[in-house]
Amino acid sequence: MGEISIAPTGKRAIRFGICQRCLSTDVRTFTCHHGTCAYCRNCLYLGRVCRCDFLEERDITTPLETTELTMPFELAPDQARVASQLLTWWEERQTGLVHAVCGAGKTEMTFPVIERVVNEGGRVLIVSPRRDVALEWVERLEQAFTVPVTRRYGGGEKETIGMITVATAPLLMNLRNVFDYVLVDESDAFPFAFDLSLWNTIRRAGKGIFLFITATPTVWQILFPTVHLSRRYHGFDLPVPTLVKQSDEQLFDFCRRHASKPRLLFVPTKSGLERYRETLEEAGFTCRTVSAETEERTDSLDWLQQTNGIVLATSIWERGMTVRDVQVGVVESEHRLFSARGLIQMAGRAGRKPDAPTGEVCFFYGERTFRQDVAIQKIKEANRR
Amino acid sequence: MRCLLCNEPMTVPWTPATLWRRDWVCSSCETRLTPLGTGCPRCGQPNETGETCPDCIRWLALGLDLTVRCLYAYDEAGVEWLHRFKFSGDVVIASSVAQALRRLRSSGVTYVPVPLGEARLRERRFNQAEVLARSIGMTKNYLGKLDVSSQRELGKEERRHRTNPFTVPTSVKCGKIILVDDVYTTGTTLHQAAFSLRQAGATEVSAICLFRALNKSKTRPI
Repeated sequence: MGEISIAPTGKRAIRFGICQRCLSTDVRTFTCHHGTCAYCRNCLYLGRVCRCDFLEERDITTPLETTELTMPFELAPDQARVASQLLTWWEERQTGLVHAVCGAGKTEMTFPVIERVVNEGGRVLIVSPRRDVALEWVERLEQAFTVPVTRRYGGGEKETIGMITVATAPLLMNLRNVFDYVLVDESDAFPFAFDLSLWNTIRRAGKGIFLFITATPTVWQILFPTVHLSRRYHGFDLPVPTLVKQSDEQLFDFCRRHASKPRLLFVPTKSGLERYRETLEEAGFTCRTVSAETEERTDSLDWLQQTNGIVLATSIWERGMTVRDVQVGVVESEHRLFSARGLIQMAGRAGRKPDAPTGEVCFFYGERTFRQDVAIQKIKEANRR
Repeated sequence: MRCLLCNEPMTVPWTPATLWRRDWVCSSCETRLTPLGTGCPRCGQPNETGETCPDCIRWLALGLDLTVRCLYAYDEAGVEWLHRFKFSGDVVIASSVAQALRRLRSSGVTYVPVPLGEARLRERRFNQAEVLARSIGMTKNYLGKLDVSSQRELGKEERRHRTNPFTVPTSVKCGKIILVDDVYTTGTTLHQAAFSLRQAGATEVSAICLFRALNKSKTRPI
């Protein structure tokens, strides 16, 4: 019941070839100072555990606090409906799913329930698939709440657990039964969708009550009680993607048409990133590339916003980023790495601000696929609802 | 199969080794460490002509004759690799350089890893030089080490004027000895260890080092 840490006494860190901290079997033998030993490769970033170490489970001792909530803006009637639904779910101690379109103000809708949980003495965890999204959560939470927000992602301090914790999933490996309420943001995003062990990590860290928030739920998430929200908070329709046969001219044309606005082009692979950057630069455009390996992703975000430039990104930016009046193009949208869900999310980058509620979304295609059709159909469906 | 270093999925080439080799490294990770080009024949310090560098001439003037075979340059990729290996304690990634090290193996040689102090060994749990030495060939722990402070923060001159921390507790009864260490910076450690071994009766001593710290690079610790 609490945080697992290395201690002089306790239970063995690795038993039966299973790391007792992260429950992975990626345990490798090596020669320790006393002889043959084993260590876990899966949770090295939390500090190495060796078979000769012992793990102890300590309760979280940080004091319970109460908080005050100042909403950044008044909730729209639709959002208020969702927020009150979340409150009833919390009272019934029930897991639920919020199926809200991209840019519906999902973050703010959850603030009332977070406040309620914290004031009832429960700890809240917000899990996000990647660091960029976590950073944005922290920023908004700190403006709204008076309790300090604990950061548990790469780069934040990883030691303490406060009342509200924002985390990425791998850094929760050493927590058991700590959080009364777990919000899983973008619950179908890349690290979760393919890695069952990350789900188990979150499941172990929480006490059993979850809230999944996503625009594109997976099949098994739909089975939970669901609340829909299919209108953006500024009330405009989602921009419907247009399909354009891909050629260099069309790409340049897209970039020229929106020369005074920030443009974001999604590219499936890292090698493609370089290739398209070269073709664009030959045509006289200045652009930047963003992939998982780029260190200063927030820098590029600011650059895109301020200089109205072109950014080529991999699917790392398909969620959780907001740029005012951005125009979105998806290059090679038939690529197998672009799922229908990913395409919906990418289309959802456009028109997220009330002062620029529309934008153009282009799917450039070499071939037509069902994924493109499904994405467009889902967006239209959400607009109709 | 996943790459040992970057954990990305990769396809394993079909060779007889496929059956028994466990750890595979993908092609992009394999070329990340930069091998040393032509340079000083004694320490591997890169230069165009391949002549002995002034530092080694100084060692020779002191009567210390030691040839060190270095494999990779200690640049950013090297620092990252070594940090992961030594300080994060990911021991198995040593097998990604084991092939290159094993090519240096010769017969009738005893490999002696440079030892760690007692306190440091307890803290780190393993001797990084010993892991490397074992991947080359048969090792013997001839050397002992008195507890001294870490050399990490020391400059070139301070490193040179340290007293020799290495002792040889038993008499050395084998012919050729090759010392193994992870990084060659000024060479003080290896020369001191070789000096102790020679005093204890070793006839032929040379050394193998995984990384060579480059004088001009920013990552050079001194």
